[in-house]
Amino acid sequence: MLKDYEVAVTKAQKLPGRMFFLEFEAPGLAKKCEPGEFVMLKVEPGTDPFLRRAFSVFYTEPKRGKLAILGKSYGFGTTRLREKKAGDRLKMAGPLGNRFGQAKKKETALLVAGGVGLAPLYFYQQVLAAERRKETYLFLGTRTKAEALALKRLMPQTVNLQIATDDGSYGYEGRVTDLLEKWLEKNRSGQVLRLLSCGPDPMMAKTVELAGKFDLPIEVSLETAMACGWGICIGCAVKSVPDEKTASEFPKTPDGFIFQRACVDGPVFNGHRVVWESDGPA
Amino acid sequence: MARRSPPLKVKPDLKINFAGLEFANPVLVASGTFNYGEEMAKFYPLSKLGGIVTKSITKKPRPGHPFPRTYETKGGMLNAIGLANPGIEKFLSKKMPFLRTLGTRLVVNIAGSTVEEFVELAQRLSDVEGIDALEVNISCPNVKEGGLEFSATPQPAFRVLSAVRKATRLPLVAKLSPNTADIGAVARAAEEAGMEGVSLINTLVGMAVDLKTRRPILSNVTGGLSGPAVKPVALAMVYKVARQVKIPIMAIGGICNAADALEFMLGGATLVQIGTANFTDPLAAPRAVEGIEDFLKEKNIPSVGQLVGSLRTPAEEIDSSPKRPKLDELRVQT
Repeated sequence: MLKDYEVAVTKAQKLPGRMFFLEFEAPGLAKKCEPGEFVMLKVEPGTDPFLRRAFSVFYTEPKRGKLAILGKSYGFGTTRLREKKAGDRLKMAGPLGNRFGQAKKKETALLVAGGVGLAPLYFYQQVLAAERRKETYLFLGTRTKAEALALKRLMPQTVNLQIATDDGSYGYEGRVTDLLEKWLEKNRSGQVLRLLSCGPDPMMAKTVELAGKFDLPIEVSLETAMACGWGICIGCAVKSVPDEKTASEFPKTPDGFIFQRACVDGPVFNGHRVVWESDGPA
Repeated sequence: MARRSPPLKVKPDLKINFAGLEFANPVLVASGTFNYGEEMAKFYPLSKLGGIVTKSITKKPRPGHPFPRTYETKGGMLNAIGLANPGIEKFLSKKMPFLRTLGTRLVVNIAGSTVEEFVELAQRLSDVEGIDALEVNISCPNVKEGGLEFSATPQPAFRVLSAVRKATRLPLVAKLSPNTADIGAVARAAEEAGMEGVSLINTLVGMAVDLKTRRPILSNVTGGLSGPAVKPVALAMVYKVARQVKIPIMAIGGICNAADALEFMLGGATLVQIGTANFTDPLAAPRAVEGIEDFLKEKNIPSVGQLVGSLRTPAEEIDSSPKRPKLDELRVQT
């Protein structure tokens, strides 16, 4: 069953680059959520803003009843969320959406994150680490050193972290996907790899391109804007290439693609099947 | 100060009759805001509802419009989904088996791009077990054909609705558009065409612009506005229509809770449909049912039906003899 929980903010932190971190007392959800799944947060009661905002889970601590998210303020709702303080109470529905596929034995997971797209990938890494599973490598791209360090501080447990900054003020100078490409050129042979990515669409599109070049499977977690988050508004249409396994309620478009719902058919999709357009998945 | 009567000892009666059908309570969920029920059944047992109105079914499956399809506005949202749906055959094979099990009234919403399509849909659904009524969607603002041109004026509405009327024995409810000069006239045309009821309002045509890109935000350019922002418009229209037709009304438009629902019932609605609120509060509809029951208990009202049309208005405002079009007037142009 899905539930709409009342949760309380336990830690609130504004991060550079309009990003923010929130941790909640949310025992019900902390027990249930798996990497890739998301929650819908009602920013304020009432109608301002009216719709909820979707967030991938950053981590859970089931024993302490904690669940955390990362966000970035884009508009009114997320700007209000960035102002939340410890003790504030909100409605949070979940767990919603699908999960990342489980890494197989002997498989090394390469996690490619852009900014707050880090959230579901860090969660994935932590769950694998807790199970003492195979190695993971986390590639994180941010715009600046300040952003990189702020995110790094939030994940003391991470391993094999490599950082790229757009301005070169920290780590590798350039795109995180360049960093990934160099790593793959050096280490591709002889390894069983899987790619997972979450971040801005151009970054994910480039990661998918690299996955194609190196013949690797890839899952992407899409940040498509949603009205409801639980499958009923049919607003978060993701255009993808149909195959026999791809479930869609809807028929093909005239140009031969299908629309899937990011909220219930995703947010995790086979990256090779998503149709990337200049403005993002369309 | 007036003395309050003691609270009701017995459970108030939430049952209500609409066009000969008994509903367990007056709260339904609106078409296009509940898909076909499966997703919301994960939140609560749908038998708590008075009924479900399905997302529109068309003859052929429709993929819908490209992204972006929705946009939040002050107190509401715009949508232009484009009637994305699996089409009638898949609806019957994949959705009806589940919908039959829910223990609540089922109203199937149909949308055609021509009169013939509406007729075909009504015929096909006529003898399907488990369907209690059809809602005839002559008012979708987001499709090129079959949308507003049927509900902007009385004559086309009359033409399509009387054709659908001949095609099925199922109770029919015409879903009306607010994008019209005179919704009362369209409602009267629906009544003359033999509809058992009307539902209103569908969404208001609206638009949003992205200043940075100088483009419309929605892929369809315009969309339909819904949510609390449209509630006063809907309430005024329900009130107006209630005084002009004898058939019962399902109210739609920004209804989020019991208070909203009750206001519409006072204004003349027999049933209400909760729509966009399902997107922001998954439990909005069952909570509204509970809230209506609490209100009846507190006010010592034994039956919810007593509230319908019970708005106290200044006598001079009540137009007791609205102009009703003669059937001949409507038929002239059909």
